[in-house]
Amino acid sequence: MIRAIEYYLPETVVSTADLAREFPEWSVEKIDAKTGICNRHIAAEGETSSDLAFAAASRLFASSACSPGDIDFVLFCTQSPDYFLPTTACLLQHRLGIPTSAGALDFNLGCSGFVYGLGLAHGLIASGQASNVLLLTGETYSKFLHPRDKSVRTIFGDAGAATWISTGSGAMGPFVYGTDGAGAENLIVPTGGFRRPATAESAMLQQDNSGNFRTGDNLFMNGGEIFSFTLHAVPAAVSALLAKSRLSLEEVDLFVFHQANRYMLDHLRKSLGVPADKFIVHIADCGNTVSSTIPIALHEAQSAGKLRPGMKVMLVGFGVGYSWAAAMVEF
Amino acid sequence: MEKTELLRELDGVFELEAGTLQGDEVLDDIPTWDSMAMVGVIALADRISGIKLNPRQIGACTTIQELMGLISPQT
Repeated sequence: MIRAIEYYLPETVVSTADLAREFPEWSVEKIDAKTGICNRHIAAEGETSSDLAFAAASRLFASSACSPGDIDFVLFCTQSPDYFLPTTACLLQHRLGIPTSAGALDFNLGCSGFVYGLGLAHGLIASGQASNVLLLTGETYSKFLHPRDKSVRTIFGDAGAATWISTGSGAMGPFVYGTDGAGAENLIVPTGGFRRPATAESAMLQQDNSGNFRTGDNLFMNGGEIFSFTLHAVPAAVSALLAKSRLSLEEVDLFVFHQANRYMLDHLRKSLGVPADKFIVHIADCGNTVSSTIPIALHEAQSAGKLRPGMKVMLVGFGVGYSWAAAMVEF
Repeated sequence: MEKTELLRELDGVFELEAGTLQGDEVLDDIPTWDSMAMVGVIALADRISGIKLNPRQIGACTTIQELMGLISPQT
């Protein structure tokens, strides 16, 4: 079961008013109406995803009954690792003082990553390979964004989250997963890996039809394609999970989806017929933090008393890949 | 959905005053025809017709009239 969640947001804040000044063709009202995001926290120069995850884990150990010595497996979800190698989870094991008898691995997923991480943790625990899993998520997409690309700068923020998963009374699962690599090109950093190494040519600035600027080394998002993918994948994943759980929509106590942007969340909620009071939206003060949105929303829902012990909660992550996953979790 | 009602919905998507669009407008002539309007059109089709459009279908349209045919074929 999920025993505790903590998260960390970097200190620097970019407000919607800041962005409206940089992009005068967009107003605060327009950005707010489309994204529901007021503030995005941005990692400092030299501050990496592992720094954010480390800060979140430090909060977890300071606030819960769990200590580094209890952890026997570390999972780190990131697409902005410290190095190509070594594995960032190994660096975090050492930095956090987790025993050398623990397993540790990175996995590269974005907005679906937290739910996949829960699935991995559940498998490790259910098969007797681990007892206390530390699931870390950390992302610094801001370092991929071109400063003149408002289509992504309005949406993404940086964050790290730490989740302690162990045996206990609350059930985890079932899980459903989905993958469609045909959508890879719609949310991508095209260059900088081995398929297309960064070159002088890839660093050339281009302008798109909506007036945004980026290079091949920056993150590109085709918003229309991503929205279209979501309309297909998410309702189908919700139906599949309900069927696998033998539950009706009404029997689920709370829905926590990846916090992509408020416009998308509102549309999904209405099309699925989920009442607003059962649907968590927590995006205004952190933005879309990729794999950390769900643990942040869960933490805040607990703090606000909306998520209480015994509740059946549906989690759905979806995005880059394309990759998606849904899970039923009892708190 | 009635044609007039659909045009008013599209006014909202394109952030225009209600009653602006008549149907014969060329999309590329509308200053607010951008990636955000594209998302708005996809959401509108899903909401009123349950049709899940992709951007390539929408990109093949040149006028509001053609767009209306995609969003709500019965109109």
